[in-house]
Amino acid sequence: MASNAPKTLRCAIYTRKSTEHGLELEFNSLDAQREACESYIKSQASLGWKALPQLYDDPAFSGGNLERPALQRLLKDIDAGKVDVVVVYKIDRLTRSLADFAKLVEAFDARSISFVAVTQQFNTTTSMGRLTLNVLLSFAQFERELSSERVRDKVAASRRKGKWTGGTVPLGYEARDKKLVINPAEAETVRIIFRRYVELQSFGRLVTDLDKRGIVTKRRNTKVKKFNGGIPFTYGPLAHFLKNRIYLGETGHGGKWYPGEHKPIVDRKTFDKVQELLAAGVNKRRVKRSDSGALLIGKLFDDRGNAMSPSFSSKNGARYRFYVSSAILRGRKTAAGSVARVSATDIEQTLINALRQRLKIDQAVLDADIIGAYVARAELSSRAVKINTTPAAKIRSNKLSIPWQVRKPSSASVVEANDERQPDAKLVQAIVRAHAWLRDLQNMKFDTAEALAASVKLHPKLVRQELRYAFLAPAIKEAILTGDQPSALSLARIPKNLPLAWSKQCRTLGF
Amino acid sequence: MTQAPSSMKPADPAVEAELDRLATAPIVELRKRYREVLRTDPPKAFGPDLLRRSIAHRIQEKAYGGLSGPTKRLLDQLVKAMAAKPNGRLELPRRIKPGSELVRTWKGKTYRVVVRPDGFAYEGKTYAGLSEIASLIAGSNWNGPRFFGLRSKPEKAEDHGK
Repeated sequence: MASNAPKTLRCAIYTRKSTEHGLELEFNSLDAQREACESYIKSQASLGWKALPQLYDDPAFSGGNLERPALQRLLKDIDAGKVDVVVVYKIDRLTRSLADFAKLVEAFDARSISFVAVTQQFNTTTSMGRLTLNVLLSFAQFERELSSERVRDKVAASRRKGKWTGGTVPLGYEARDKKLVINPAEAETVRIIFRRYVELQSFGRLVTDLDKRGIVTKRRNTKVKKFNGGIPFTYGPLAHFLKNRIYLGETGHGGKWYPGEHKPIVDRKTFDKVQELLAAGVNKRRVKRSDSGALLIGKLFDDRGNAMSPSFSSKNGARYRFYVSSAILRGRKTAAGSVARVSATDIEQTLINALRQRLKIDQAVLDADIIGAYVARAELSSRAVKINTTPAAKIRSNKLSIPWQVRKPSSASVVEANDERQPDAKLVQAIVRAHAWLRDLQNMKFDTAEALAASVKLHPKLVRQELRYAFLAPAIKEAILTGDQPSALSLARIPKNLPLAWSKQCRTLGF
Repeated sequence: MTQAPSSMKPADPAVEAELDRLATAPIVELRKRYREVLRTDPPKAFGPDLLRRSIAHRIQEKAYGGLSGPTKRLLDQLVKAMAAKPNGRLELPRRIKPGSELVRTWKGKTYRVVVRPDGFAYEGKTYAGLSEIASLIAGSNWNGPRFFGLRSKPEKAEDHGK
């Protein structure tokens, strides 16, 4: 150490600040930290210390992890041997996590780099110094956890009080002064979606209906000139939307819901009805994708670029596997390619056989491994499967096309001798239903028409009205059941107050 | 299957007069008349309108005749199907006129059956039912109308407890 011309020690100054607060000042905390470090380095000039010109500044980065650009840059430079000493204002600038600190010390030790905290005098080369450091860091970590706990508790308490604590603003609301305020136009959209779901009772039909009405997800503008949302609804977001108790005027936290400060958009009756329908539609036979045995997961696409996902149906205990275009799974049949659903064993076996032949694959290779090893992507059209192979296939262009045909189901058709009118399903249904109801009333299954109406979830008025179809003249009934009725006849044409006399009925209905 | 709607008998003045009377009769009288005409107590749920319609329907049936046998059977069958599955789609019987041809592809081969007034012609022979032919083609027992696509969709087996 007693050398006259000490070796120069290159000192890297690292500065960090957690929040953006105050960063806009001309002389901010980062500058202050840097200045302190620089003056310390100057004081050590006799030992050959020299500050590096590079800035290692992390403005508005948490000390809870190492995901900080400047720190990463510093570590890289350390690895490259460009740094001898790391200078920080205080230890907690470097990290607030004990585990991360251990990692950093290891990285420093590996390059025998010392580091200095200018306001906290200690020496990491001694055991005592290390102990002090660990104690200090334990406290730093404790402080950080404490403050995050404080924030968590505050959020929980605000939610319980019904306050909205930020986050993505749901469709139907706007955030004003940190409160949710109803956006009338969007709220109407929300009501339409809830109402239509109750009416249609199916995600598939609902999606089609929303598309027809041009209803899309909420468009959210972000700080950067960009926006999210404003796209057609798919099943997942719809389910989330329909379950969101925000629309009942509640706020949630940790799975519990509390009366909120904002106004509800949907009435409880509709909401409950929707939940009932959603619960009834839950598919209980969910099988994990990885258990499905589908070899082409993530690799098969239809000819319009939709991924085809594995699915299955069961009959008599046998499982029939398929690949289904994601367009269908999202309720948009028209966006699907020319083959929207394909038998899994069919397509898999075709590929395996063709690949075995073309690539001259050893018989010892298992069928199941062939697709995994050689197929990167397969695109299915009605005539061929286009395959992008992996480098393992060792063919010059990585493209293959394999002829393929959709297996036609056995078809049945009727060649009519001449045009034959078929019964009108709606009319027949109405007559049959009226008879079924009448029988229920005659058997005293229900004591009142109201009870019957409740059992079929219809309005009593409608039930009374439709019961009258049971008293249509036999000639009319017969014609409807066989499809011989006048072509203009429809349910709407049958008068609400049907005459008692058959002759009059026939006359009014055009028989 | 059935021909034109059953022809109406000429109007019976006595019946028409009774219908007119029914239109204004009070409920007490309607209940009494119901017992007389239908030979059972009126159902509890029946109000004047249903009583009136039931009576009118019954007396007209007596005077002019009701549904023909096959239609009545068909209706009963449909009512039963609806009672079993209140929200299911009704399976309407398809009508095929004689002279029509049923074409069915089975395992790559096409089979043709011609509908005759007295049955179904297949390979020079006439069969009484389609099931016989279907079973002959498939080599196992098949429901004929289903095999030849006369039922819109095979009924789904009810999954119990799934």
